[in-house]
Amino acid sequence: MTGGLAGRLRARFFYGPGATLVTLGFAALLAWVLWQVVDWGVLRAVAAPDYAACKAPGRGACWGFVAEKWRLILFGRYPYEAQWRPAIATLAVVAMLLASAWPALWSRRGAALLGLGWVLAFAAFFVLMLGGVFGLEPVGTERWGGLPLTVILTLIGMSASAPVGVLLALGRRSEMPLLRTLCTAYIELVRGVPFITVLFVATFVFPLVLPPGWRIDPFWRIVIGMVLFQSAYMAETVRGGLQTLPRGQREAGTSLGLGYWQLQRSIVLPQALVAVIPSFVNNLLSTFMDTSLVTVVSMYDLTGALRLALGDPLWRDFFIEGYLFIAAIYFASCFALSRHSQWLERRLKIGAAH
Amino acid sequence: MSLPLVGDAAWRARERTRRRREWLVQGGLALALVLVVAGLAQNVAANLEARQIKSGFGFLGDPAGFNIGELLFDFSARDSYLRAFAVGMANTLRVSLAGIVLASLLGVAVGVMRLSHHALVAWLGSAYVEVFRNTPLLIQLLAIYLLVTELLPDSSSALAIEGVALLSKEGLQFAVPSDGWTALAAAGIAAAAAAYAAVRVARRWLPVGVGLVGIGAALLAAALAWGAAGAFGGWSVPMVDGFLISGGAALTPEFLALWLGLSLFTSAFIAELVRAGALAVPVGQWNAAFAVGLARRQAMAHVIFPQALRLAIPPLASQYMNLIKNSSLAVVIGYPDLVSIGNTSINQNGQALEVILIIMAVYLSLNLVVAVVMGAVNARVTRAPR
Repeated sequence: MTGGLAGRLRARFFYGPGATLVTLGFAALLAWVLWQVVDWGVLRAVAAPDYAACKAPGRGACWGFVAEKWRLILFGRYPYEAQWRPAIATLAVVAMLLASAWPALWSRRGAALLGLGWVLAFAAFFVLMLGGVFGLEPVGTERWGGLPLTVILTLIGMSASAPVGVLLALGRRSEMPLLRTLCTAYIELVRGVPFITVLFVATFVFPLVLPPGWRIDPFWRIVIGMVLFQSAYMAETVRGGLQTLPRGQREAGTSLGLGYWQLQRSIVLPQALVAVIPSFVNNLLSTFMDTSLVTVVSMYDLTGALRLALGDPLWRDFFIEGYLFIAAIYFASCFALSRHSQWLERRLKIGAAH
Repeated sequence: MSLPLVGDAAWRARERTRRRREWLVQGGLALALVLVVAGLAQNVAANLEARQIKSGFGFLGDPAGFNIGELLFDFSARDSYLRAFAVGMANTLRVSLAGIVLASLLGVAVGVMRLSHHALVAWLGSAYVEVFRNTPLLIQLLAIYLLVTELLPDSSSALAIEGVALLSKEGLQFAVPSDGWTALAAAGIAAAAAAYAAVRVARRWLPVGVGLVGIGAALLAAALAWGAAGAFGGWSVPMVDGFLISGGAALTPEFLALWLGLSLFTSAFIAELVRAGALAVPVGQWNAAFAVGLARRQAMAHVIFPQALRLAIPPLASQYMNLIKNSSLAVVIGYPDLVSIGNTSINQNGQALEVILIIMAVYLSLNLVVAVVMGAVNARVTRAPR
């Protein structure tokens, strides 16, 4: 093999007559597809929110739909003039998410700081979104929608299901037969049914099990449903971490005279949880994508808000542009998260080898 | 409770205390559980009475009162809820099975692409995987459904292969033998015979992939028998008559969108499994196989392939289960699967608890079936001598 760019190109694209043929064929196909996309999405596209221009024959993509409706898609039915509040609230929690993804902060002190940051960010989120204090107009959860709803459902779902998942995982490995059976049954039952059925339980059954006369806000009952669902998956993730721990670790702890909770807190969980951080990020990713299902039970998250926007008969024809817009938001977030999780995995492996 | 006589007296005393505490905890747990369940049941009873909703599974015999657009067997609004749920379950099974087949084919193809030496082919494979894995299935389904129902031509100007198939907003219609059941039976018998013969012959010649040869032969024979049945008994051909399409068999736009969406989404995950399985077998295994004098093909057949399969089958089973569970998204595009029929009947009679219990029981049993089937496959695969 020769060095240099030409050599590398040759080794990867033109290493034989068949490979050359494949390269040329695929390159031509890709170039054609790319040209079509650019032609439709840029050259012939209409960027202004002008319905007549979008409808003119020979026009390409109508980004005017997104330009016209982006506030509705991103913030749902939140009062229009107050939409700076969900914007800041979402930025605050997303900033905390980014900070938490930074491994330099995973020391004991860093974790304390992060914990404090999360409490403040959640508090700020709910104060801004709900209002009613500091002269902010009160806004009920039924008006929440769009990206803020998607983000907060994901984050509450994750942060509340993590401790429940840890307890379930410990319960599944407990030596007490009744506790073990109950935890195992719960985990397997929830993992065996589709998320939609859990949303149905939240919507139709939760109001029935409350004492007569009590009401539960639709937002909170969906949150509880999500936590019940996610904690079963979280429990399996944590169990994976518990299983990687050599037996000797526990035995060493016991021989030092540590009790069960001391043992879990200072020896088992710190190691087990660090080992499953990449899977934790993957759980976050699937929770984020699962939240799109709440449109089925009439919540207007990002997907639901787009369907709301497409309900306008004037702009109905431009669904492709609308779906591309929100698919791009989902894709960018999920792609970044999954790359980050892969990076963490490699980093942890290197750490473990030392 | 007697303990084996180990340890000193102090240790035994501690151990006794520990056991006593464990029993206390479990007793408390059982008591709490009973109390919570009893309390909730009381609330439910009171709430149901206040809302004048009946309880129990008696409603299953009542007439359903709604129609279903997509049927594998007869159903009318006068039929019972039980029959409606059966129709829904048949629809769930139909789209899941079709999805599992298509997703596996696509997944293996893309997985092999990702393993290619050719950089462009490998890149295309990973682009496919990243796009389908990193957008929510719901969005893919809604987008595909809208593409099918908005961008395809009207039925009056359907895309047609004359006398064979029509594609339009009304879905896909295609020609079938007029006597469908006879053709189906002929195809089934031919497939079984061909698979048996092909596997017997192939086993003598091929060290690996005998199963694939059998499946291929079965499909080919089934297609031939199907065609022969049509040739002898005549074809039922889809015809456009104004806005109506008559004759032939049809796949509705809802089925097409759900089938395609589920298959594309799941195939991205299967592609990753294929790739991971092949890469996970250590290079040392190849070297060892060569060192004992195996040829490349023999090494692949007897050393690498069995190990790769062993790694890939358990996660493959869980992907199949995910596909079955994800088929419940049918409700957003109006494909009448079990969940959307359940949803309709909850809206009609309010008996949410019972309906949700039925839906959950069906999914749990389907999971169990997949687990048993894939467990059997796994047992066969891991049977190879170690």
